[in-house]
Amino acid sequence: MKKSSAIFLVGFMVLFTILAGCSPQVKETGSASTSDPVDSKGQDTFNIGLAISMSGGTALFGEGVKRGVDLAVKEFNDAGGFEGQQANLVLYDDEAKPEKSIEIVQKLINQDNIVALVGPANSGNAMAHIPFVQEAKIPEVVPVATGTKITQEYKDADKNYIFRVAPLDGVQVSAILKELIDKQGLTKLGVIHDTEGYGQGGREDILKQMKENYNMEPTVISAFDPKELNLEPSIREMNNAGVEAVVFYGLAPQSAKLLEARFNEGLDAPIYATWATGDPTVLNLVGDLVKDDLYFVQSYTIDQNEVAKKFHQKVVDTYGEDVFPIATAQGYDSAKLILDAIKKVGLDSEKIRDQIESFTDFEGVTAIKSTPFTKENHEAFGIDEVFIATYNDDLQIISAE
Amino acid sequence: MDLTDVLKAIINGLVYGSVYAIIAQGYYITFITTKTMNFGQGDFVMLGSLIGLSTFTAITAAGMGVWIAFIASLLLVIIVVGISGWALEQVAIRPLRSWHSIGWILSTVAVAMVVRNVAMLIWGRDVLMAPSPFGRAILDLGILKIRYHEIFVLVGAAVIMLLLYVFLKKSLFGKALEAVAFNKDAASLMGINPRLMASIAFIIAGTLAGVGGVLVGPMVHPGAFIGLFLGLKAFAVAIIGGIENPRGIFIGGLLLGVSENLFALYSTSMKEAAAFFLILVILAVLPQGLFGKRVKEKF
Repeated sequence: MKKSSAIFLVGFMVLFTILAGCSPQVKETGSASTSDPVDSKGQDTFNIGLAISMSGGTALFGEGVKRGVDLAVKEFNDAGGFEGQQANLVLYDDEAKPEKSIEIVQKLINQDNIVALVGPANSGNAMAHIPFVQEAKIPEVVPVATGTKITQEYKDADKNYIFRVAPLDGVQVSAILKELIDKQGLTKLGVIHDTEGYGQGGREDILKQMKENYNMEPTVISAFDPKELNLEPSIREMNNAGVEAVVFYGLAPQSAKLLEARFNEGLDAPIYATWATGDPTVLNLVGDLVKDDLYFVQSYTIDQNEVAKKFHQKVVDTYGEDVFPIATAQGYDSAKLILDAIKKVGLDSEKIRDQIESFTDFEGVTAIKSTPFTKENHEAFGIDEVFIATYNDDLQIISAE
Repeated sequence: MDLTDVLKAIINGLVYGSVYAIIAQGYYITFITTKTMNFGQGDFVMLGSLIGLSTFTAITAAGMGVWIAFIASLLLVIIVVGISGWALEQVAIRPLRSWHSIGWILSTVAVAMVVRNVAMLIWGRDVLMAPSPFGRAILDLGILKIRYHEIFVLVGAAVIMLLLYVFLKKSLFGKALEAVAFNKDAASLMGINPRLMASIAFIIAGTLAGVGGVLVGPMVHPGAFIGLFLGLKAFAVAIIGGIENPRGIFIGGLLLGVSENLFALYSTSMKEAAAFFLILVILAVLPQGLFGKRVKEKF
């Protein structure tokens, strides 16, 4: 008995170890768009890196960005590349884990000899790997992560290699407050936020900006644990305080719970949220509860102008559907910044960085300006480039104006 | 504070509390028969809700009615999670019992990790939406609104609890289970097979977890990670109520559910801490739980 149970236990441990090592696998591609995947250092190709989460909580962002970057690379190659050299996209999955992010970024720099990098989706991952990117003098354009510090880290360095084409947290708060206080003249605002990093950061931004810019305070603040199953108490708090609008700061799963709670309880005020609430995950979870009185910050909607409409059509033509329009658009613009710079200055990483910083004639599909960056500013989106959007009756995200 | 708020918090608390209680009965039933329990009970709940959700979606997508889909998913969950309970007993409890007396604590957690990882491979890491057979329909009573699904959970839980109680206290089978718990050697002399009883206890525990999962699914967004939190709450309920008292567990479940929702009226972020603080207080005053038997030990 003793022996057999020992064998049992060992067998069990082995099985456990194998299974614990498993996690959803994705295809990592070293050859998204060239005909010659093996010859990565060959005469006629050069490598662009994409380090983003294709699995984990931000997988959908990763998928959206990948499609945008793929499209940009394909267009670049179809237009003849740079002096006959084709771009080759090297994609690795960072699994939304900082340590994995460091590993793959080092691999991209040292083994794949990338000239520039797009990624990641998570702020924590960005903060973990940017020291290596900065040191290797490789320009990186961040298409999703919104943590304010990412582009500030090397602000005082001789050259800052980190750029961003995503609405950072502070700017999103400014946009919401501008809409509610300046435009609509509301005075009674409620705040609902989660008690983890994302919501806490948002709460601080909201309190600080309301105090400094408007000398106001939220009427009521309701915090909730992200694991909380039921957000109805928060909704009731808002109703009891009689707020005119609710500012919500939470990620997609919590946004879904908020909307269910709103459906069950009824809320008299509209909800204003960050672009995390515009994540298609929310729509998948709660369906048409996203309609009516739900607004969130976006930098791209499929209807914002002719360029955006055309881009949306192109994505639908290529992939059959546009899973995450804003992520795809920001991914496309991130890659296009790099590729346009290469067209102008060639394959030297430092020169590419200088060119990205000094564009004056850039044409993107998001709200990005023709002069997106300066030496001091590595954020493509300021308060004037983001806007408030909402869902229409066909459950598409459209500009609210 | 509004009286409606208090009323609503109490009803919400009763709904969640009754789900905690169903799950916690699984701890009770294996504890009385084998003096062991499945620390991964919560992950069996998760398994139940995810299997239920997939079956329900598949059947309704095939064009059949929601109630057929619901009953089919319930049956499938009972079978699959019941078998999982039996398998757990075979691999994680039985081989270790004679080998090391508390090894089962770790081995059941290990099984839970395996279940969680497998669920992650199948359903991914994101949370999903579990539809209720009632859809999103709400009963509007004027002063307060309740989802039909919540009423269903409340009634369902009470029925399950009643059946379980009758089964354990009145049927010959239940008595056999308790006999094993009372004195294993004497029970086996009376012709009761303690090994069979242990297996049955774990099958019932698994089934309860699965049914709990199906009921709770539409109220939460199920995902591979919800098990830990539900299992912990249920364990707390079992301890509060007194682990050897099924009635105590039922009342303890409702008590925890209601008190945490009442705490939430003051502060939603303090809710968890307050609920577990309550547990500390109860255990300090009544170490055997609210309804546990007081055992005087002589030294």
